[in-house]
Amino acid sequence: MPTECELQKDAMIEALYGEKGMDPSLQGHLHQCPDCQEAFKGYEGLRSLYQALPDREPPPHLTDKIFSKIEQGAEPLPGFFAWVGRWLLHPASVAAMVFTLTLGGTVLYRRQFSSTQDPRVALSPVPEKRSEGPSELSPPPVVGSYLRMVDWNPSPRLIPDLDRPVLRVADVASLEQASIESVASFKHQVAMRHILDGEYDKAGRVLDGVIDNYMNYSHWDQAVVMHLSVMKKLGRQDEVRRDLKRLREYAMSNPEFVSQVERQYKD
Amino acid sequence: MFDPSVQDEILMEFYQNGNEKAFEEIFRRHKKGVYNYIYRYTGNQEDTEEIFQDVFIKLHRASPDYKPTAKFTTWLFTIVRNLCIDNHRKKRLRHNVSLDDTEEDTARPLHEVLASPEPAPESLSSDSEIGRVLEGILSKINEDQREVFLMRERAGLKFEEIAEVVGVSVNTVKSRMRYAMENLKKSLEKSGYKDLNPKYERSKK
Repeated sequence: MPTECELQKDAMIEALYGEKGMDPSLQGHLHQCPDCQEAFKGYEGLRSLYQALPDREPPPHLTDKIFSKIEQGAEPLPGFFAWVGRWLLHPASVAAMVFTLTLGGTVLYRRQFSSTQDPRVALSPVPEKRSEGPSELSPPPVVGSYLRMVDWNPSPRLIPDLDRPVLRVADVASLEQASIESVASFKHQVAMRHILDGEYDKAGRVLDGVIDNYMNYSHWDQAVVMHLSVMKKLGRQDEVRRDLKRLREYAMSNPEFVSQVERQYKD
Repeated sequence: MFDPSVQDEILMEFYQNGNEKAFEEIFRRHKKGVYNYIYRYTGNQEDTEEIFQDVFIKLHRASPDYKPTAKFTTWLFTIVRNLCIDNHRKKRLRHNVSLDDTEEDTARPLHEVLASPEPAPESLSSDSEIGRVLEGILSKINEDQREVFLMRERAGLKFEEIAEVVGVSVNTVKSRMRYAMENLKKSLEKSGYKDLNPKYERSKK
């Protein structure tokens, strides 16, 4: 049987690093056990000692070496990414993204505005309202833990239907979810731009990335539907079937919406 | 220069989309932490420089595979850890020396460490004797304990994140942390450093 001192050792480590507050049982134990009290002080001393060690700066020649190696070995970026890169480098875009991030993230089409301000693409059927709150893949919501998200349409040029900055508000369960929303919805908008330009191949590739990498994105279903409509346009029937299967298996929208999409896009 | 509010995960997205400045920013943010982690892990300047370069080159090459659902520092330190382990294994093979065949809680005591023919790590700016001794001990304790200690202290990862990087349970991480601290403390005490305070003097035996 482990002794009380043994049992308290991990709690001491947690308390030391502030991952958990000093729990009352540890506090009580430290009060009456001089050995553990001494051990705890020793841990604290060791931490202070370690933290007092000066940091070393990496020698500058290493930085040059790393970047020249990367430059030599760098492969050219595919056209689309170069295009997005240029767009991202535009000061207005960076400012817009920073603005968005500062406020916590981007959420499109959320319930407060979904009926009036959705930037919709003609090819996609309009999805029904999703279930309230984050998807079931998100961290479980805790009452009072929602973050109020505000987003500004970063570029009216990207979505010409929205010719003015638009504020949207939504609740998101965590900052992690906010960052997913921010990036995924940005890519979603890029795909829309490609569709509006008639560049369906490019749109398909961007949407593929959103679908594969952002399962928690609150508009994942819409991204799949958009991809599906693009694939239909390109005559890629295998991809259409794959998207329908994805929707059947993973969509969070109500089943009627999925059936409606199926009816519309079935052979 | 990016605004500090732009998270590493977003910078990686930018880099994946061809924005090279984003990679420079990531490098700027993490170079010191990564360098010092490696230095204290290996205790050797030459290895540190080699691994440090490899980390950022690997980061560049692996960037298309990065998924923003993973926390960036967890991903970064998985790369750092793997390269440190590779280096350690190569060295073991080269010198046929085993530094870490000990059990979890049986690190080499300091008197053995100090008697070791291997030089203590070079000190670039740490002038204090205790600093050099602590770095010397740290680079010699059990590898599993050392990495956990450094990931918490040097990289600032939480125990849960360390568990993810190392691939063990959170409880194992906490135990390793405790053993690391106890071994460091014991070794310092054996060397005459009883009062663990950053400003302390070596106590007289």
